[in-house]
Amino acid sequence: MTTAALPAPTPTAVITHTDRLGRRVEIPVPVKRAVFLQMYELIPVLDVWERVAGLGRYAFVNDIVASSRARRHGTVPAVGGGNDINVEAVIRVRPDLIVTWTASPEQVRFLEGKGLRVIAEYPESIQELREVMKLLGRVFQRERRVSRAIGEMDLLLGDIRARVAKAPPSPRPRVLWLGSRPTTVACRNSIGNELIRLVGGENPAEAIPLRNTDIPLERIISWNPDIVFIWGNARYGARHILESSHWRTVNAVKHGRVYKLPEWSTWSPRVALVALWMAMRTYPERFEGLDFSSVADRFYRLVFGLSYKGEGWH
Amino acid sequence: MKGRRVLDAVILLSPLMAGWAALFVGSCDIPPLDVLRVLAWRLFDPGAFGESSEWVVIVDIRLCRVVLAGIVGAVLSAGGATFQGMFRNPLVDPYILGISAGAAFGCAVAVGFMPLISTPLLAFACGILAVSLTSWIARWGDDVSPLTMVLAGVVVSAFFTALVSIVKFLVDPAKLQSIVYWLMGSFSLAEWKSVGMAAAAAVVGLTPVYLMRWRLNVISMGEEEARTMGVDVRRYRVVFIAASTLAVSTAVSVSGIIGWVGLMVPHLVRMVSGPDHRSLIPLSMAAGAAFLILADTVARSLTVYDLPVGLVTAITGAPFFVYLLKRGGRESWRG
Repeated sequence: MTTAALPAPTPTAVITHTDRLGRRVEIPVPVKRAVFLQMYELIPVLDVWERVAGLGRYAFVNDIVASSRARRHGTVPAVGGGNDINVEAVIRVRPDLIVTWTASPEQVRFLEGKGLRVIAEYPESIQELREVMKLLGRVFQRERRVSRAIGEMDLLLGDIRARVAKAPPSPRPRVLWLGSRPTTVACRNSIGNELIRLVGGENPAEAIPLRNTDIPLERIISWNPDIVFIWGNARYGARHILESSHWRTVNAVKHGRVYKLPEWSTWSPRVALVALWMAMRTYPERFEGLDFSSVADRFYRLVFGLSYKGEGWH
Repeated sequence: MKGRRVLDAVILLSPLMAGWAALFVGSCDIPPLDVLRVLAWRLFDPGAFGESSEWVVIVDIRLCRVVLAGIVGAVLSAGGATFQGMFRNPLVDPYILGISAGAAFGCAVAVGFMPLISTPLLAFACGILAVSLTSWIARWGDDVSPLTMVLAGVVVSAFFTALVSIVKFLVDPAKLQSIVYWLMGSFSLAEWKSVGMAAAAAVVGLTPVYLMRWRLNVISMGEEEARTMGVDVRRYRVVFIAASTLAVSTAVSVSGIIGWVGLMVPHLVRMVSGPDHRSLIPLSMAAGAAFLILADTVARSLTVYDLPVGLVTAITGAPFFVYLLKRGGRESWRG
């Protein structure tokens, strides 16, 4: 995989895309100047650093962005966050396209009113992430790179499925994904739930038709999960759960199976590595002899063009 | 007269009745007989259910929440009655002096930038800082009038609210979620150590208020009248503010911001039992405790979710206050 920046080609076509807010957006391709307020981990995947005109402020604390930015000559201006875009800063960098999320539809409409082209995405599943990656591959004319990244993701996810399929079909371990608070659980419409299913677990919160929500602690205790994963950006760690008197009767605590995930976004190809890490803790016997660091390093090199140094772990 | 005594007795016993009922309600279906069995075993054989999930749910989660909600409700309500009497203003509550805005700022800073520092601790420290600032600003004039104090509280609250907005702007969305949830008030993560902390502060803070409650009757008649009766208004005001602030800041630090209790409950009690602070303070404490226990029970059992109790108090509090105004709350205030 080459990491050298290619000169941006002249526009050759127009792609019509309906984004997550239901807006039809016409995008002349290839995009030459883009602002990434979200999905910035896809910049090294696409290898389009020379076409990045601006970044959301949280991108500057992202390990993948920090490591791969060396490919970019000169500085990249910060243009605000996903909810608080600095419109003047955005207009100044004259982007062809702004990639953001759906948190602030009114801001998206405002930018649109200023003649800026915006797509707002919110992948709620790995399949939707693939679709967003493919879209960006098309608008930057980097389809082959995206295809290769998706291929690596699918290879890893396929291997996980194959290994956990060999586990006894029942009883499946009850697995919870906790969010920003110890009572926030990943429900049916979350990527967390999809990952639990993928690694062969059974999410007791799947019956709740939401992304994430707060539920009474007593309900969690009555579910008695066998394994608990804590979202990487949560303010508490595994120790908080393991040492809490409330959780002492829960299987996951009794057997020390409470794990804090890395601070990795699930809106990135790294979601496949998150799945692998979860699977290795859900069915350790099915992954005996597998070295996570080696797999992650290979994945990083092929997908991001970077080496894996164990970053993002607590 | 007898009817009122019965009513007062019912109010005084209401936290026990509400707390007892709340132990049987929750999203985890435990039959009432099992609840009784677990509680009975606690009396006769403390170690019997130590490691069962029923025990954890009934004692460590439900009972812990009930006790904490009761303490916080009593503190907020007594604080409201005290401040309303002291400032002779029916619209003030414990938050008017900047406690809630200060505590909110402490929480936001802890969650956003200081992960190693306990959120309740910083919320408490900033709540105290806000009240100190309010007192300091109020003393700039020749005399500390109730109006000056309330205005200083409004200024300090606005200042800390702006600081909270800055922190919310600066932190990433993941941390913002925690801050927003805390600001809505909840007992969902109640632990016995929080109960101990809130109880200790309640005893230290509310004991002087309770013992000196009759002086609130004198102060609420007006500063001049109080002075002619030999009451050092300024000294008592400092004592009442310091004592109430200690209890309220600690309560806020363990529960988040729960509005309306301090405003609504004393009014309700005043309507039933009159404005005499000798009975108003203890009855407000009891009614506040019962109200918050019931509100939290609704919050944790009405839906599959654990709603922030602050939402429940706000939803019930606002219409209730309109009802009070319509029914002639001013008259009941005057007694």
